[in-house]
Amino acid sequence: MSKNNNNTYRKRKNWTKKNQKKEEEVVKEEKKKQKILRRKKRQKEREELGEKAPPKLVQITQEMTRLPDLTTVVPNDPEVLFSEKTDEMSEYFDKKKKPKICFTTTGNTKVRSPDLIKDLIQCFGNSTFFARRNYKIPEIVEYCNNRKYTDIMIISECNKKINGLIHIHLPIGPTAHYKLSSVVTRSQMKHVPKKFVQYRPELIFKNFSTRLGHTVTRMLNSLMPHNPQYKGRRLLVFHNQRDFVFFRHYRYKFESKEKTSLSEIGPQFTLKLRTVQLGTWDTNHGEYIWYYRSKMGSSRLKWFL
Amino acid sequence: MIQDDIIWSCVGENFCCFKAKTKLETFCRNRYNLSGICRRKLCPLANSQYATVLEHRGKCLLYMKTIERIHTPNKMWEKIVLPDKYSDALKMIDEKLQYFPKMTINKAKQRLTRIRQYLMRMRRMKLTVQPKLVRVNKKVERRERKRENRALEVAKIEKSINNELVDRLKSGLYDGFYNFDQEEFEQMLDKIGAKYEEEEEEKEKEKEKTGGSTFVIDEEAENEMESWGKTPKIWDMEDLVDDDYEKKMKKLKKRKKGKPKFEIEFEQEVNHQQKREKN
Repeated sequence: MSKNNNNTYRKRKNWTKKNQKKEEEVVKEEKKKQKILRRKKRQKEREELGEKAPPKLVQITQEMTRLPDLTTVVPNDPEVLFSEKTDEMSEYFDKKKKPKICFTTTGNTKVRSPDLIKDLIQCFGNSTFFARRNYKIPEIVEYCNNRKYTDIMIISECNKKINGLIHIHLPIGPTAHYKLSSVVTRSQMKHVPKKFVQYRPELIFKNFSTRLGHTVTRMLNSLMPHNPQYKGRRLLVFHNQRDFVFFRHYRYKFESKEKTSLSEIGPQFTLKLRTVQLGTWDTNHGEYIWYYRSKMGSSRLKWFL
Repeated sequence: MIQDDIIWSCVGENFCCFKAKTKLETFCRNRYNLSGICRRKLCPLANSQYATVLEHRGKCLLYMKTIERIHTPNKMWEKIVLPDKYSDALKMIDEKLQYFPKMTINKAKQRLTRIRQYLMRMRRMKLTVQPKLVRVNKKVERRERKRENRALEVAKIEKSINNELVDRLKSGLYDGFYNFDQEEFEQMLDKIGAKYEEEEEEKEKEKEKTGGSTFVIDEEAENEMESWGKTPKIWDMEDLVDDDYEKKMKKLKKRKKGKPKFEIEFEQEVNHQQKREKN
């Protein structure tokens, strides 16, 4: 046994986790200080040089270095417009069909889902909740079609946590399976009114750039009633960032022409797309348009929405 | 028979590769064992006359072993396909195992029934859709949670909503719903109010003269309103009141309960000089 071997495995004197953390903090503070010094230097230089100063350093974000997607939608693409006209959701956009939603759960869950479902029923109008009593999903689809529903939302739960959402668009429409996370219901939020007048809300969809993103927006759009009432000042937001779709529900107020103030009502959750199927929910023989591949060829900067 | 005893003394009491010992029981892992327990009468090695029922691809087969074929292990077990019908299969077992000990017959029949039951269950399950159990990969979950938090920080949702709404305002979606520049609005109102007061005074004077009511159209006021732009829509007070506002007011009221109430009395200054003058 040489001396070198021993040294590599010997811990330093007075080593504990606390001390390690302290050392790390000290190093961090030093780094911060140096960063500030560098910034001040640059500012000075810029002032001195004036116009000849080198351009400002731009922070390289992940959004900048995102891997380009073949399916990003160019605005006013005739192909996309045509395919959207002949879509499963086109009936909604032509204002021939009004949305009618059916909410259920997986299994006979009673722990967390009813809260969320109550909030969502208030959020979207014209929807009803049915208890799931060991009916299989193809059966549910059949019954809903008979009663002319347009959408089914199935909320799944595991270990007392809401973790999934299946959105089936009827009669033949696509199904989307999402992963729900960081769910905050209205009962958990403070300063939230118990009731609010259900004016038809406005919608905001942000950062959906690819074809997949567009289909997802159309599906989510088909849940809402037509003709938003601007008088109500109610907003539903689906904001996509790095493949996470953040859902928020606000009431807004214009304080001036440049500024709005928002007050949050309604539930709050994030969606992550897992699969999209062409027809209704069928795991055996269904045709998948897209599913999330965790290992094969997906890097941190590759986003699909 | 002697051979069987010798085998059992070697296998049953000493080592057997098919034996699995637990605290309560010893089991036999041999494929041909009738019930999986290691016992003298149930051991397929230590019985020269033996029979079992085994299942292959949904079909039940009767395996028989006789003394005549012990020396050829390749051809030791005779396979007989049992009929699909349960009662016929039982009859066949009775027929074939006529001269076998009763224990083997009973055990074989029991084994048959059990096999048939689980085959039925398998067939039924294939028709229905079974829930698929998916693994929860801790690493992946942790990674996704962190990415979600970072994405939230980067998203700046409220800022983007603000920009979106302002753009919509500029594009003209909300025409007719809002009025800005409150100062100008109030100035306009003041102007209109002042004019209205003047005209009222004129009206009163006219009334005194004429002694009747006259109705004059305020053309000037109308023109001013039109020139300013679109006619402002006045909201209901209900819309203006925040839902939070009511809660805040309630809270304030609650706090004030503790404090003592006190009234303020105003004394009227009496002009004593005037009084004296009058008097």
